[in-house]
Amino acid sequence: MNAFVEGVRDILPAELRRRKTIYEAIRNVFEANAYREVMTPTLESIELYTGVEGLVEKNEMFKVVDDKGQILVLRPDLTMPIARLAASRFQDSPRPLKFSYLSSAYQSRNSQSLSLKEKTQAGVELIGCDSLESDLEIIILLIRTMEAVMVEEPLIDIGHADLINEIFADLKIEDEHTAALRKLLAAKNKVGIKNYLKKVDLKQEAENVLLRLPTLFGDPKSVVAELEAMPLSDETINVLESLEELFNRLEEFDLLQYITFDPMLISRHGYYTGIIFKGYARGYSNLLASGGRYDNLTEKFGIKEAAVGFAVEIENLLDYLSRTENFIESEEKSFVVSYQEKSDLKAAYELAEALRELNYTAELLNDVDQDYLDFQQIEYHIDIKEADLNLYRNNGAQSKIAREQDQLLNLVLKKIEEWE
Amino acid sequence: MENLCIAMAKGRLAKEAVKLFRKAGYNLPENVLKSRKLIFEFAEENFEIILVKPADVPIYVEYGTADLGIVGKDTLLEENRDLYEVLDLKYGACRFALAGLPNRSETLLERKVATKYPDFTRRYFRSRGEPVEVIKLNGSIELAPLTGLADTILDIVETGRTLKENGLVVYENVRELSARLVVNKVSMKTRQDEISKIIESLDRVLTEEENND
Repeated sequence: MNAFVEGVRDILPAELRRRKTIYEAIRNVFEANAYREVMTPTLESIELYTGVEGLVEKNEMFKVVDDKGQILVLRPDLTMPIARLAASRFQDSPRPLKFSYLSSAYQSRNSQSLSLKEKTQAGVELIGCDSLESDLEIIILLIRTMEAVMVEEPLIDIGHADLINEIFADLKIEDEHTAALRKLLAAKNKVGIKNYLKKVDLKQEAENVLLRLPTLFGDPKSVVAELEAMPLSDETINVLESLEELFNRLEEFDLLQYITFDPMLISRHGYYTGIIFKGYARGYSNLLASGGRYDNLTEKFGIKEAAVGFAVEIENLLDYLSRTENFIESEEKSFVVSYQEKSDLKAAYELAEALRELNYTAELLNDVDQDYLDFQQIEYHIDIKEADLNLYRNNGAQSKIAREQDQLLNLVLKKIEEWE
Repeated sequence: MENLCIAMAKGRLAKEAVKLFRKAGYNLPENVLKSRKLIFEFAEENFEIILVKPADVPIYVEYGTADLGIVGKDTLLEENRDLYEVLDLKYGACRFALAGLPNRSETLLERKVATKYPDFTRRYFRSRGEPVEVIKLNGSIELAPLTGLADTILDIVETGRTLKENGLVVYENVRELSARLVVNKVSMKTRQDEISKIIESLDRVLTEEENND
């Protein structure tokens, strides 16, 4: 029998310990900012995910048939369930709504490089705000979240969902060409654009803009300045001005050095309606987070509501952190208390309990061999033998303490302190 | 900062790439890729070159193991990866073509197409709305029509000599191909200055050559 499924994996104790530390750091930031955590079901109705263009391809969802013959899906994303919550149980609650989540999402084909079918995402959604300040809040929160998990030099690349359409309209590009040009611009494929323009009749001015766009990204202020100098309409300039305002505010918070601007940042998720952004770390070539504004996600529930949020890709984050040495979990002392005589079980148990009360990990074993201690990387071994406690450290240090004394635990701890 | 990593397709494309980098002023020894090594470091230029199979170049770049890659458009079309394709390097020029025996007889059954590029072939015929049976082969594609395995092949054609020698004719040219410079989408943002410098200096050489033609 081959009991392995491709694209899913077991998480073993060492990794889980690291995950817990990361989860805790992220949750602390979310909760401190009043983004209250929710857990939504693993199974969702397939209708929740259909009819939202660009959300998830139908063939990328895992489908399950329930006992009534209804088709359910393993949630392919965590934003839609929260949109559902906002539009149903929280429909009449005062706005804004602030939710956070830390759960798994399931997709059968993943465009992310670490091609797992089950991936963990931690994110926030801010619902009921359409102000620039709410965009700002979310971007700052993402930077703070990345800092909390020791991402050195986080980088947030910002774009705007409307920009490309506005520019197309300004350049009078006909609908039949927009899809192809959009794809070429998203791929920064200057060659492809040059070739495509041979087939399309455009003004020289428009061609120049289209040929400049693939290499126009990076420093926010200079990119905005260059775009504003192009022959664009007032609507487009308005979008640019709102971005400029956002960049000015980020500068005020001394965060502009973390920001880049890519006018052609185009998300796979078609549901974004305003800013779009992606979070990276310098020197790491995978996506760490993504997010943006989606003001019509709750439309399918009959209400239209502004929302903005982001999700951190936990597996990519773990991969990044394992390449740097920034993130070190606090090493907790681990003890094995072993005994030779059955009559010493109670004494050993009491010693172990006393250690646990001090927040150490202590396990109780009747006799133990060195292999086990090495495998579990136990730092301290206390062996109760006849009238003595034999104390060993995994670096070879050892000591003997007579049992017939008061404050036995304190003597042990004092010895350990000496060794350290 | 770590060296930038450039993945190149082993063989002629890599050789041409080294020439191009030299013309652009990069200090690479002429026959640098001649040894059997797979990783070549150029500390002075702050980059390294890795040599991989052509089909693996887009994979190395998408995963970010390599920041840049040089690879044929044929491979890019087949692999269909999420990358930035920033420059046409012009060399390695050839084309995708449909070919087969002269006087192909229309059959009642679906056309059988043998190819090394099954994914691209499927997409191509789907876009034409023509149902075909795609047969993936790993080499000597010209044999397929000769032996009756398939009635059509979709393959790279450079001069057309191999086809001619095997008594095959081109039915239709599908598209032009050449070597491309591709960039990992994240590296483009996180190491913009270094990568832009490489793109610009290569682009300058290519533009000059175009103007001289």
